[in-house]
Amino acid sequence: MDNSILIIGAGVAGINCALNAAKYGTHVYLVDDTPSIGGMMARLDKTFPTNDCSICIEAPQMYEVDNHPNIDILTNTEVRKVKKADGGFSVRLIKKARFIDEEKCTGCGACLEACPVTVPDELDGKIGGVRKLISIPFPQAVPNVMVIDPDCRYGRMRDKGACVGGCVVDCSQCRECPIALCVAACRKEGKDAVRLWQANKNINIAVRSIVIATGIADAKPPRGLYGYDLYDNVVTYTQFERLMNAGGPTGGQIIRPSDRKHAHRIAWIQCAGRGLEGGVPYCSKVCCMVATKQSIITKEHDPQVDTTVYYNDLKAYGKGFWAFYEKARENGVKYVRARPYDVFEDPETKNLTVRYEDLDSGELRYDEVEILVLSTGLVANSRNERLAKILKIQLDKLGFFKEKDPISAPLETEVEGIYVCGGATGPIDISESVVQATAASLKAVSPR
Amino acid sequence: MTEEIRIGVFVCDCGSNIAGVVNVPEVVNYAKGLKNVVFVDEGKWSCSVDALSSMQESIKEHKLNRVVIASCTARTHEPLFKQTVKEAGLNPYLLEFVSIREQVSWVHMNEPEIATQKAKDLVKMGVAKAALLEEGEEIRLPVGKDCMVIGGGMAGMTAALSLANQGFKAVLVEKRPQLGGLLNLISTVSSDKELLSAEEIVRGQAKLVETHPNVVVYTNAEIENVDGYIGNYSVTIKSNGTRNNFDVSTVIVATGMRELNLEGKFFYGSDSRVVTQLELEGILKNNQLGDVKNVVMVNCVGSKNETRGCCNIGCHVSIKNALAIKRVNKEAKVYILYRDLSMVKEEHFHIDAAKAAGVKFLRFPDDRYPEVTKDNENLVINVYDILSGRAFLLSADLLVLTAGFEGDETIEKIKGHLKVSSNAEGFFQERHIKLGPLDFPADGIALCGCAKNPKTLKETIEEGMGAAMRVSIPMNNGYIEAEGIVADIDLANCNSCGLCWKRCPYGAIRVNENKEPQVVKALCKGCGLCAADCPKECISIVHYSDDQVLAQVEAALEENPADKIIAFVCHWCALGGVDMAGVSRLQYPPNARLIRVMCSARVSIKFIQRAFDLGAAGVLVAGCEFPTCHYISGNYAAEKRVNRAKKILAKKGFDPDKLWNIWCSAADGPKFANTMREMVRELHLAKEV
Amino acid sequence: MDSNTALAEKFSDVTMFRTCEQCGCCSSGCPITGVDDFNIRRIIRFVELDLIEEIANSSLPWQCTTCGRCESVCPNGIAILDIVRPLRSMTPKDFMPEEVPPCTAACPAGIDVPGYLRLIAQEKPEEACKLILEKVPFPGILGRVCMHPCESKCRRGEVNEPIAICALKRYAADKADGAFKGASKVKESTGHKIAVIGAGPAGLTAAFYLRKMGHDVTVFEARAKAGGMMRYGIPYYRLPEEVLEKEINQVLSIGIRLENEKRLGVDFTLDQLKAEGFQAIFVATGLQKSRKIDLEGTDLEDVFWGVDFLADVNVGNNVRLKNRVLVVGGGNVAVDVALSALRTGAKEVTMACLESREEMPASPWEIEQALEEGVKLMTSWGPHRIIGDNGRVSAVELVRCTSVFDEGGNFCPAFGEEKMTVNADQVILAIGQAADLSFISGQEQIRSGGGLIETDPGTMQTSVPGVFAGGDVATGPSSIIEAIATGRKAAIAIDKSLGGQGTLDETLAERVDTESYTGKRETGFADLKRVRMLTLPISERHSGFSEVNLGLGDEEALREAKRCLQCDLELRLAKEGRLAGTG
Repeated sequence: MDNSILIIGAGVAGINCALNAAKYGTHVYLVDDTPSIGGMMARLDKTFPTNDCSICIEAPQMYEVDNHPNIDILTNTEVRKVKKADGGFSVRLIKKARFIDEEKCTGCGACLEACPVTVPDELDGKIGGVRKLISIPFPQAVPNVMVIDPDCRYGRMRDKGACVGGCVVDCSQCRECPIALCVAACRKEGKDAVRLWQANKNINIAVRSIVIATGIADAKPPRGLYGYDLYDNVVTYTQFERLMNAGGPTGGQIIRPSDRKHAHRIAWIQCAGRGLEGGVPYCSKVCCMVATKQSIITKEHDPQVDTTVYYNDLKAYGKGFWAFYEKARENGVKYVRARPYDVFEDPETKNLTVRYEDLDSGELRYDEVEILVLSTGLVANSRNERLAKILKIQLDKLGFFKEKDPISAPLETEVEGIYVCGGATGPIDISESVVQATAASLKAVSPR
Repeated sequence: MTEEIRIGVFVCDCGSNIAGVVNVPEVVNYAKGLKNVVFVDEGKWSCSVDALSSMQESIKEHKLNRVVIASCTARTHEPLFKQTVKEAGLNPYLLEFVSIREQVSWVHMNEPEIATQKAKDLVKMGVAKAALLEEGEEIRLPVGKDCMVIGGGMAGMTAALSLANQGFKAVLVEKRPQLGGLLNLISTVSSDKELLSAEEIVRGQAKLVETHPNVVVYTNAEIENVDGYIGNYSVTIKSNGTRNNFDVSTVIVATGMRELNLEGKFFYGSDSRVVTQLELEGILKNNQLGDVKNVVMVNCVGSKNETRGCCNIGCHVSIKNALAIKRVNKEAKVYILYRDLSMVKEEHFHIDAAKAAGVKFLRFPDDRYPEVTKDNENLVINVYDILSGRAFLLSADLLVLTAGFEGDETIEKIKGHLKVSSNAEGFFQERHIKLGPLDFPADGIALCGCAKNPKTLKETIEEGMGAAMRVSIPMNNGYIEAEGIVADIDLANCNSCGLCWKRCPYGAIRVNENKEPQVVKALCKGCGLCAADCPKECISIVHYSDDQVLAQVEAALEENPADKIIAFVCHWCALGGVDMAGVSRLQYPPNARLIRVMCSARVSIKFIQRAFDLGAAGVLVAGCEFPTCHYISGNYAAEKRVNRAKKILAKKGFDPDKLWNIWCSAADGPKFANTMREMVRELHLAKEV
Repeated sequence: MDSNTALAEKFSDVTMFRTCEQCGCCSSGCPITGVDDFNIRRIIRFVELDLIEEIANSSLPWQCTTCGRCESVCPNGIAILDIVRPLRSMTPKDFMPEEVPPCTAACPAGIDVPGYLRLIAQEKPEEACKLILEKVPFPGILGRVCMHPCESKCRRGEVNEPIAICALKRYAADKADGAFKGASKVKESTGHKIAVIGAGPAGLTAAFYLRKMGHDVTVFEARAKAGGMMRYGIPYYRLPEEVLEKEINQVLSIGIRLENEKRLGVDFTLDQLKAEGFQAIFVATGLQKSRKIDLEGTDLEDVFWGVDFLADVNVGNNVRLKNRVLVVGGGNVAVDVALSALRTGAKEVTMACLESREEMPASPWEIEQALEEGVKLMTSWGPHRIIGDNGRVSAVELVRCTSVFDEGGNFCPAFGEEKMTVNADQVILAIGQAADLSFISGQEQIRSGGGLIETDPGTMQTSVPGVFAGGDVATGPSSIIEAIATGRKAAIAIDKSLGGQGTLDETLAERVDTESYTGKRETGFADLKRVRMLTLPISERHSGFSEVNLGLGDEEALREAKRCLQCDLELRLAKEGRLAGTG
C-alpha cells in the first residue's frame, strides 16, 4: 500500500487537510478541478467575525502548500475512477488541458495583454467583471500560471462573432493557428508556454486513503426572485462580496450595476428564497454573519451608507459572533425582523422598493434601496453526485456527503478509508472547516 | 570571520516584463560598480530551469558568498531561489531578494528612465544589505511522543484515544472522580433523528480510553505545576491524594465549560421549581419529573447580551428537553420562550416535532425579557410575544432557564501554567479564530472542545481528533523545525527589563533564574517585535538586523534623499498589496524605496529616525490591515510605535506629518497606489527622482 | 364539548400550520396586509396559539379575498386558505358580508358575474351567455361597450388587476350563437296592449321583457332604425353594425312590433295611443339632442355638435373632415367624436376640455386609446370663441379653466386670464346631451324638471297614470347598462300595474353545485396577470370603422376566467358550512 493520501478539493478545507498530513510526514496529492487552489475563500473579501482579509490569511497557506515537498498539487484535475486495491485505492485522475505548459508559464501576463477577446467573468459578470479568454484565475492564484477555458474558447468566441482575424471555424483548426496572438506573445517573451494543442492527460495514482473536501456552492436564486435577473441592482451575497473586494471587478468600490454610481442605501434579504421553488430548503447557517460582515464593511467604506438587514432568526452561533452583530448595530446597521416578498423596480432610477411586514410591529412597510443583496444560502456542490458514484458512497438527501455516524464515526463515510470534511458535509464556516479538515487528516494518516 | 565578501547579482529580464521598461543592461553595468560585487549576470528568465543551473555554476565559478536576485517578488519566488543557492552549496540566508518587477517595471511602465533609476537604487540597497548578511539555519527541537490531555470529557477522551491509536502515549488528567465531563450530567443527546443515551456514549468511550495500553488516566486530579515548552514539559499533579511527576512533549487543553451561575435571576436559587436546563437533564435522567402540569422554559438567560454571546446549543437543548417532558407527561403544557431559534440545515424538524407534540413557542423581544412574579406562591410569567403582538400570562410549576456557559473554573490556573490567554467569557483564546482554531500561539499546545466555546457533541469530537492531529505532527516527526529568522539576545547589554518576554506573542522568550531572557528559537517566529522594542537595543533578528536594515536605508538615501520615501513593508499583507498593485499594473509615483521586514512590528524608531536624519522626504510604515496579522498582533504594536515615533520626531525638530502609515490587505493594491500618490502630493515631491 | 374543543376539532385536519415559522412571507406578499388591521400571519399565529376564537369572533377572516397569494409564497407550503375557510364559517353572522358578490352588486342589471365566469372557465361559453341573458338581452353589445362598473369593484383588483369581465362577456356572446333561443320563450298572452316609445336600450329591453311576460308590445321609433344611442351614438369601430343588428333583431323576433319613423308629438300623441287601446305607455326617448351653448362663432359652417356628428357618421351621411379638428369636451362622447373624426378624414385632432386630466369624465381606457391614436389632449381649457374667416372656421380661442367644480362638487367652471388660439378647420362641440321634450309641450299633465321627465322612483310612473318613463330621458345621461337595467325594472313595474306578478326570474343556464368546489387553486394563482385583448394595429384603424378590439381567443378567455376569485362560492360555502357545521 502506498503511503500517499488523496485530497479531493483544494479550498480552505483541502489545503488545511493537506498541510496537516504533509507536515505529519505523509505524501499528499491535492487535487482540484479548477485551475487554482484556494476555493471559495480566495474569492471572499473579509471573514467574520474578525474581518480578517480572506486572501491575506489564505494566500500564505496556499504558498506553503505550493512549496511543501510532501504535497503534489494537481489543479484542473478531476477524479475519474477509484478502485479498492491493496488495502488502499487505485485512482485514475484526468488532468484537463489548460492549454498552458505549467512548467514554462511564469504568469507574466504577456499573453493576456495580447489576447483580443474579452468575456464576462463567471462570478463577476453581473457586476461588470470581465476577463480575457486566456487568464489567470485571480492574482494570488497557485499555481500562478495561465489557463484557457475551453468552453469559452469555442462557445463564447463564436457568440462574440469572431476570433482573431475573423476566424469562426472549428477551433481544432485554430489550435495551430499562427495568428493566435497569445502564442505569439508568449514566444516573443521567449517562453513558448501556450500550448493550444494540449490534450487531457490521464494520471494513475495509488493512495491509502481519500479525503473529500469538495466544498460547497453558493445558491443561485431563481430568475425573478426578488427581481433577480430582471432588475439590475439585485445581486446575490457572493456577487456583493466581489463588489466589496479590493481585488474584485470594481476595485472595492460599492457601485450599482445599473449606473456604476456609489450606492447609499443597501439592504440584505436573509433566507432569500429559502423554502420557495428554486430556493434552498434549509438554513445555511452562515448567511446571517455574512450579511453582518458585509454591512459592517460597507459602513467602513462609507459610514453614510444606509444599511438594512431583513432577517428572521439571527444565527450568531459561533465564538465572537454575537459581539460582531452588536458591533454592526453600533455602527448603525439596521436589523429589521421581516421576510419581504415583493420587490419593485423604479424603471427610471432603477431603485428597488421592498415591501415587507415588520414583524415587531405587524405593520406593512416599504423601503427604497439602491442595491438589494440576496442572502441565498449554500447548496451542495453540483459535482458531488458524480463523485459519489465514482467513490461508491452515498449523498444525503440534500446532496452533501453522508457521514457514517455523526457521533460514533464523524467524518467517515461508509467506505473505509474515505473521509469527508468541510463544505462537502453541509453548510459550514471557515473555522469549522479547518477543524474538520484537521480531524480528517488525522483519520487519513492514521493506521487502519 | 573575515572572509572576503563576494557578491553576485542576478538581474532578470522576465522576458519583456522587466526589460521592456527597465534598461536592464544599464542596471547590470551599475551593479558591477557596486562595492563587493564581483559578478553580475542578466537572465532572460532567471527562474527557468536552465537559468537556475547556470546560476549555480556561476556561484561556484566565481566563489560567490552572497547572492542578490533582482526579479519578481519574494512572496512567490524566494523559496525557489533559496533552494537553488542551497544546492550550490551556499547558505540560503546569504540570499537577498530585490523586486524590480512588481515594484518597478509594472508600476512605472511609462517612465523607463525613472524606472531604471529606481531599479538601480533597489539593487544597491540589496547589495548593501547582502554584504552584511550572515548565515542562518533552520532550528530543530526534539519532540518526544507523549502528550498530556487536560480534561476527561468527550473532547479530551477523543483526543487521548486518537493519540493512543497512533502509538503515542497520552496522559489524561481529569479533575472529577470519573471520565465523561458534561455528558455525565445529561440524559440524552440528539443526533440526526434519534436520541442517544449520554450515559452509553460515555461508558463506551471511557472504556476504550481506560483499557488502552497507551493511555494513562489520572482522575480526581489537580495540576499543581507545569514547566517548560514543547518537547520538554514537566508536570506535577496531585491525583487521588498522591503527587505525581511526569514529563510530556505536548499538551492538549480540553477543560470544557460550565453553566453560568444564575443565582438571583427569576427566583433561581430561592425557589426549587426554578431550574437550569442542565439540572433538568438530571431530573429527566433520574426520572424525577413527577406530574408537572405547566412547564415554561426561558432561553438565552445570561447570554446574547453585552458580556456574552450566543450559547450555540440552548435552542437544541430546550427543544429536546421540552419533547422529553412531553414524552413523560403528555398532558403537560410546555412553553418555550425564545429570542431567535438558531436551528440550521434540517434541524427545523425538531421544532416541527415539538409543535406537533403540543409545545408552544413564544418569541420575546431582545430588550424585554419575560417577567416572573409570584402570585400566592404560584410562579407567574408575563411574556410579550412579538409574533402575535400581545402579552401572555403563564403559570408554571417548573420554570427552566436555558443558561449561558462559561469556561471551567480551572481556567485561570491553567492559563498561568501554560502561559496562554482566555477571553472575557472565560473561554480559552485560540491562535487564530479562522485558520488556527485548535492551536494556541505557542507550538505544542492544542485546544479543543467546549473549553474554546460551547458546541455540540459532534463538533466536540471532531475538535478532539483535530487537536490530537495538531500535536501529533511534531511528535510523529520527532522534532519541531523553525525558520532561521529568529531573535538573538545579547545578554551583555540586557538589564532584564522584561519587555521582551512580556511582549512576545509566542511565549518564545523564557526568563531563567538569573532573570535573563532566553529565546526558545524553535518557538520564535522572527517577527522582530522584541528587537524593535528593546530599550537596550540588545536583540537582533537574523536576516533583519539593525545593521542590515540601516544599510538599506543609507543606500537608498545616498542620492537625492529629499525626493525619496523610505517605505517599510511587512512581508505578508503590505507586500501583498504592493504585489497586487503590480499585477494590476496600477501606475503610481516612483519615489518610494521599499524595505521588506517580516512584520511591521520590526520597524524600530531608530530606523525611522535614521531615514529622517539622512534627509528622507518621508517614511511609510505599511503593515497588515487590522485585525489581520501574521504574527497575532504585530500591527497593533507597530501602530503604537508609529505614534510614539511621531512625538519623538516632533521633539527633535522633524515634521511628524512626514511619517505615514498604512494598514492594508493583500488585495489592497489600489490602496497602496493611492497612498503613494497622496504622499507625493502632500509632501510636495517632484516626480523626478 | 366546550367551545374550545369544538374549535380545535375544526382544525384537526389542519396540522400544516405547525410548520409555520412566522417568517412574514405571507403577510409581505398579501395584497391587503394592514387594510383594516388584516394580517394573515398573525391570524395563523393566533390559531397556532389556540386563540382561534379571538380571530373567529372578528370580521378579519372575511376581509381575506382568498386569492391564495399567501399560500403561493409560503416557504413551508402551508395551505393557509384551509385555515381561513373554517375561520370564516365560524365568524358571527354580523361580520358576514352581503350575499351578493361585489361585481354583481355593482352591476346595474345584477348579472351573476362569477356565475358566468365560472361557466367560461369550465369551457361552456354558451351556458355563460345564457346566464347573462337571464338579466339582459344584449350580451354582445354590452360585451363591447359596457362601462363595466363591475370591474372597478372586482376583488381581484385588490390582488393585482380586476378580471376582464367585459371582455369575457363579449367572448361568451360571440361564442354562443344558439343561446338566445332559450331566452326567447314568451308566456301566454295576457291580452294587454303596451306601447314603448323609443327603440333605444331602455325601450327595447322593456319591450323584450314585457313581451316575454305575455303582453302585446309595439315600439314606436322616431328614426329610421331601432337601436337609439346604441346605433346612433356609438361609433362602429366600437360596436360593429352586424352585432347591433343581430341582437336588436333577436329581441324583436319574439313578437314585438316596431313602428319606425313615428315621432311622438309629430306623428302621434299619447292621447291617440290611449285611444288606440294601449293600456300602458313607456316613454324612453332618451337624450337625442346635443347640448348647445352660447358661444361666438357656433354659427360658422364648420362647426358640428357631438351627438349629431356621431349620428351622421353612423347613418352614413357624407361627413368628410379635413386637416385640423378641434373637439371641445372631455367625456366619452367627446372621445368617440375625436376618434370618429380621425376615421373620417381629419389629419390632426385636438381635444380641449375644462377638466384636468384626472377630472376628465371619460373612462381612462378611452382616453388612453385616444392618446394612442394620436389625439392631442389640452386639459383645463374652455372655448372662448370660434374665430371665422370668410364664414369658415379658422381658429378657436381658448381660455384657461382654473376650476371645474365648486366646493360642493357642482359643475361651476371658473376661468382665468390666460388665453390661447388654436388653429382649426373644423370644431366639434361635444359638451353634453339633452332630451327633446317637445312632445310634452301640449301635455301639461306630464311633469318635467331640469330637462327630464319626472317619475316615481318606485313605480316609474309619470304624473300621468298609465304613462311610464325610463332610460336617459328620466335619469339623465347614463350608461347603456343602466338604461337596460331601468328597461327591465320598468317592465316589472308595468306588469304589476296591469295586475301581473312582475316576475321575470328565469333559469336559462346550468348552475354549479357547491359540493364539488374545494377552493383549491393552482400554484401561482395569485400572480396570474390580466389578459390583454388584441387590438387592431393603429396603422389600420383610421382608414375605416373596423372594430378596434379584437376579442379574446379560447385560451385567453379560459385563462382569464380562471383568475376569478369566485367570491360568491366562498360565501355560499361558508353559509352552507355554518348550517351543516357546529351542530
